[in-house]
Amino acid sequence: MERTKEETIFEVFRMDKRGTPYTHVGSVVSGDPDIALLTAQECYGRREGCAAIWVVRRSNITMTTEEMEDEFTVSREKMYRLPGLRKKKRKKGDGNDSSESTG
Amino acid sequence: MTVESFEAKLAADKKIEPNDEMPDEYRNAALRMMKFHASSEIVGAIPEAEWIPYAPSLFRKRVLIAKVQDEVGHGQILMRVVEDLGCSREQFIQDILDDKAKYLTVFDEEYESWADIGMIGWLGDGAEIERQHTLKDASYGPYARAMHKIVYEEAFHYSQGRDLIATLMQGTKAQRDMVQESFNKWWWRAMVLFGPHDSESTHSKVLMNFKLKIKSNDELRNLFLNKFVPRIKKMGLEIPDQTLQYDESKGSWKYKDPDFTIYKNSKSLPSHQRRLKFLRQSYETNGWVRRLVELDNIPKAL
Repeated sequence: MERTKEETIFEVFRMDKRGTPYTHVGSVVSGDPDIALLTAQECYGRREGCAAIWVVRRSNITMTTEEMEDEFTVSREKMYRLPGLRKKKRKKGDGNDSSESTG
Repeated sequence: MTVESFEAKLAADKKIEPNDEMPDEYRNAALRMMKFHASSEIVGAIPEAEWIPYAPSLFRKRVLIAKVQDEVGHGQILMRVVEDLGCSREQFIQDILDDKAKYLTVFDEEYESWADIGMIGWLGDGAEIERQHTLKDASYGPYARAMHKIVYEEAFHYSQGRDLIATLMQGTKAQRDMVQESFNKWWWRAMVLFGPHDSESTHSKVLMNFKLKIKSNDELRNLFLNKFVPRIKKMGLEIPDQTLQYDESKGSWKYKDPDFTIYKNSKSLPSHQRRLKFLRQSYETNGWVRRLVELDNIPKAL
């Protein structure tokens, strides 16, 4: 059974310095992970230097959709998620009980 | 997604990502521009690669090999951007092999001397940095991110070119003459590289409305002159345009127009035909490697 085109795309993540987060830098095309890693090293690790590289088959990534973006924004309506914040930072009508300690 | 909501997204400076919905007009404009850039990186590596055996020292040879590898690497990165926009890699390569691809036509020219290799880095890549630096703000996310890496590496190419030219300029009279002769061609090539005047540019308006292009051709040419006229003078070279003048009141340069039609027939140049033949041959001879490492017949178990 042959792979589909989509399955030959590998996303590349790079750790610039040990201790820093892996960052998505781009993608490469390859039939297998070893060659994908080699291509990623040549494309993304050669000039700038880095601590480590990951390659992940794109078809193995589960992702959110564009429409879901709004769900992730911090809402003023949900101040209960930020307990103990000073009262002056709260706005009227944000659903918080004003008799509570202002922390 | 409606055209209005897409435009609102652009107006809010939100980047467009590959999985986002986008109008066909946007996708096509992005594809045309990015295919042009990707093809330029790939095709542009060939004339320089031709000079590797003629590098005057081991040091210069290693520098040039590294540069050629960078350019091919940029081609790899941008080819992925192009693929995600909907043009397959096979189609992209086939367009180059069929001589249908569009790219900077300066890469069809013959590179006649070692000074030309310095000039493409110093002036050519120097000019490209001006443009690509602004494209870090382009609205298509993967392309804008690629620009950060590409501009970082183009800066090496600029400095290797400058170093090569500066070394020749400290050499014999014959070497200085070679540089001036080369510069007399590359001045006009650099001026043409930014494209036709804004009033004549077919795609500029659409690209700028979509924030795919950030500064206009004439704006970029002006930025280039701001930076390079002093550098050229410092290098001890004479600019082959007697009319060049800075207009204080307008804050821009007056210059003689390069012949914008000069590259219309670049496909018929013997240097282009020779490189095309080389590309077709190596595509065929290296086919077995491609089949082995890339797409074909890779068992699912791997």
